[in-house]
Amino acid sequence: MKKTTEDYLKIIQSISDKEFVKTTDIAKKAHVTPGSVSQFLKKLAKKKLVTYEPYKGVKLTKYGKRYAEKIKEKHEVSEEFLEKFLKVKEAHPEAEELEHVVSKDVFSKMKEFISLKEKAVKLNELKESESGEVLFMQIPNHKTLARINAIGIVPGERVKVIKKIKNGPIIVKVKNTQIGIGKEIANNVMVIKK
Amino acid sequence: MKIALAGEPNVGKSCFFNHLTGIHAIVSNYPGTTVELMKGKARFNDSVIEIVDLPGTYALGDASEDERVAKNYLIKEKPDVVIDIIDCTALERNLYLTLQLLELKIPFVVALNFYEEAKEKGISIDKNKLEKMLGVPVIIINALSGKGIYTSLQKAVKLRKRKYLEIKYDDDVEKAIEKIEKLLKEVPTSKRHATIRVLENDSDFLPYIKDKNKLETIKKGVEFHPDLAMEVSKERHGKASIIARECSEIKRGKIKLTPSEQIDEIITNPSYGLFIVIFTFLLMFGILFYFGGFFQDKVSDVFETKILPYLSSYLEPFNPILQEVIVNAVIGTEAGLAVAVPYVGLFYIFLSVLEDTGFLPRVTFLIDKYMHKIGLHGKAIIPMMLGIGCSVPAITSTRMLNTRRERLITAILLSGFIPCSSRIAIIFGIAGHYLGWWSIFLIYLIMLSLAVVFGKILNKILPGEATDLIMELPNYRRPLIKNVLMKTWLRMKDYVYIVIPFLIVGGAMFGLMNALNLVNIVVDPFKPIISGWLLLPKETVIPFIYGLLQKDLTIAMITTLGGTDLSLYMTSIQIFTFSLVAVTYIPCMIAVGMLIREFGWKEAVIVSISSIFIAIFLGGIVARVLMILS
Repeated sequence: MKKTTEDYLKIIQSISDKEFVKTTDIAKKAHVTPGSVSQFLKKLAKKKLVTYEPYKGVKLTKYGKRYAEKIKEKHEVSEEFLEKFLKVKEAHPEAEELEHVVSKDVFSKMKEFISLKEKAVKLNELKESESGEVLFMQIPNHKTLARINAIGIVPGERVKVIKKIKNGPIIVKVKNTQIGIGKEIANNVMVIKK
Repeated sequence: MKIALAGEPNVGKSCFFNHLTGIHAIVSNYPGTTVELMKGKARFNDSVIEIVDLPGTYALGDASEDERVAKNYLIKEKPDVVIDIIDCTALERNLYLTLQLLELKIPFVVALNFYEEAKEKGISIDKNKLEKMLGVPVIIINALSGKGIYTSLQKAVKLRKRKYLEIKYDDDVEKAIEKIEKLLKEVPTSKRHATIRVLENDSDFLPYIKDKNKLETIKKGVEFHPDLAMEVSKERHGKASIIARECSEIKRGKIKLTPSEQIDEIITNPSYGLFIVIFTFLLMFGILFYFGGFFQDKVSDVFETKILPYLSSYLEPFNPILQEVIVNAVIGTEAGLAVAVPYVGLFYIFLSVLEDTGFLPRVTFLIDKYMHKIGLHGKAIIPMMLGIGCSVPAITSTRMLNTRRERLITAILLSGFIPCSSRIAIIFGIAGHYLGWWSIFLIYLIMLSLAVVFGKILNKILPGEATDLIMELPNYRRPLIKNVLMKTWLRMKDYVYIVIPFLIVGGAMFGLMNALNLVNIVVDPFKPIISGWLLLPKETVIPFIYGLLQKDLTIAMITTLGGTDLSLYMTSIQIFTFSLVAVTYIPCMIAVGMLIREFGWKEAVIVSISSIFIAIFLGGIVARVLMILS
């Protein structure tokens, strides 16, 4: 029921979110008969998601518009999350399902995660005396990774750039210790600027 | 009873060790590795305790040879107690290693060092709370003055097992640990510890897993944690952070830089820091040559006026060959002592002081960018600096680098293009003496360019990827004389035990070859190379051949050949070519021996032969270029 409601809202919105939309147009897009469409539209009207006028069709209410937008956003965020961070190849159909079931909590967490990642900069890009919080590292060599982990550079840790040599290494302060880090490593540590 | 000292680098561990054991320490390689372990004995309540100083590491995994040795020693040798030394100024970071020691479930005591220094920085640590949280005894010490060291020993000796803190991981991780424990074969440590090592991809522990596929399935099955190794490390850091916060009080509000940070503002300055470094080293060399020359004259004086004339006249009635052999063996000893104490020894003392104050780590930072151009990183500057003293301990010291590739590049550059004190003697004593400053400058310039060119080539052709700098820059500290001398001695050891005996043997061989005129038979066969290509007098092959034994003999031999004024024997161009060739081929047989020991026969032979070819090739080219130019 919820899924169908949401799918109808999406279809209406995709045709027009201002004007009245004809039942036949909706039926074409939803691959169902006009009869069952108007049946369902009446239910939507009861929920105050659309205004229904015979012969003219339906128009989204303010509430209906907001609802439809939320679904759209849920779809976009889910798709981006699947594609970019989970490397899911066929993300669109998955997102098509997720948009209806994803909880408010998970949705806001995905959103936060994406925006964090977008804000992330390379440790190398911080200027002298700027600080950042380590978000993640892309260091393939497990020994190098283990060494910088052991010295204190782990996700969540705050690092401060003390000195920086152009095209060269940097000195960072982490856990009250100064560490010289080569350019290559610093390039692969992503931080959120604080 | 056996006590092991553990701790991160720069926490004052060797200070602590020296206090307990005095200077009578034995250094030995941990079996199958190049890592050196210091062992000593401490007298305590009429019993003798063996103390082992483990290499300073930030973790007990497999990221470096040092870590593996520290870890495997603790697991396999099972010391009775471990004393874990912690730097109070960086409590949180130090606790990371402490938590790993806890995983091992061996009895240990925590010794808090730099307690006063931390207090000055506004960090006060609640010792009792820390004791309670970790479940092990905690003692405040001062490794510099020795305060608290015996108390910690007392606690360690009396230590009975306690209930240790154990880190609980996330439920999902704990479930995985439980499952993986079942996949383990017989392990030399606790099952939980072995499992955690497996989760952190420790290559020393993966062989204990019966079914690798099952392990992968379990690891993949852990929800929400795609990277378990990172998860474990993060959890441990988190715990360290909680304990540190609970147990220490930090008074903030001081934005003022600490003295150490103030010094750093100047030295690590990206625009002029390097000039300070260069100036410091030039000053050091100035002092070195001044005092070194003074000591060298004293040593030579004793030999030339006291020992040698007596020996010569005493041996004269016997066999002339025997006389030649013995006299030259003594000359070899003289060469060893005259260079060892004044130049190499003094230089290594300076370097140890620079290292212990914290200056040398900053140099690695400033030079890092340039070292990358030849496939190395900043840390490789340390063996290279040692090479200015003597190539032999320098080649040994390449062990501080992480990969074999880096070590090999550094060792090759050390053998060919970083002049040791004997080769510096040729540059200054022959080229500089007869031709002036321009020639010294030119030889250094040529060697430096060659180092860059060959570094780049080696970087291209040697397999493996370049690694990068990760180096703690410890606070500047006043160095402790005892530690400096200990460190100098460790580096001089190779020189004293290997180089000096070889100089004596080399001298004797030189005498024998001289007395029997053995070398002269090679003069004619080599004529095409020496006269034809290098444009030198054909007899100069003799000093070159002696130079294979050791470079000091080159100077001695060319003086025998050409007399006290070489400018009468060779032209300026010839003197230059001779000096250049003499300093660019392999430093000496001992260095080749070191290459064999550290890298194997194949590498040593390839490096030696190519360095001879390069020297000859270069000599001929330079001779011709100079000819055209003049």
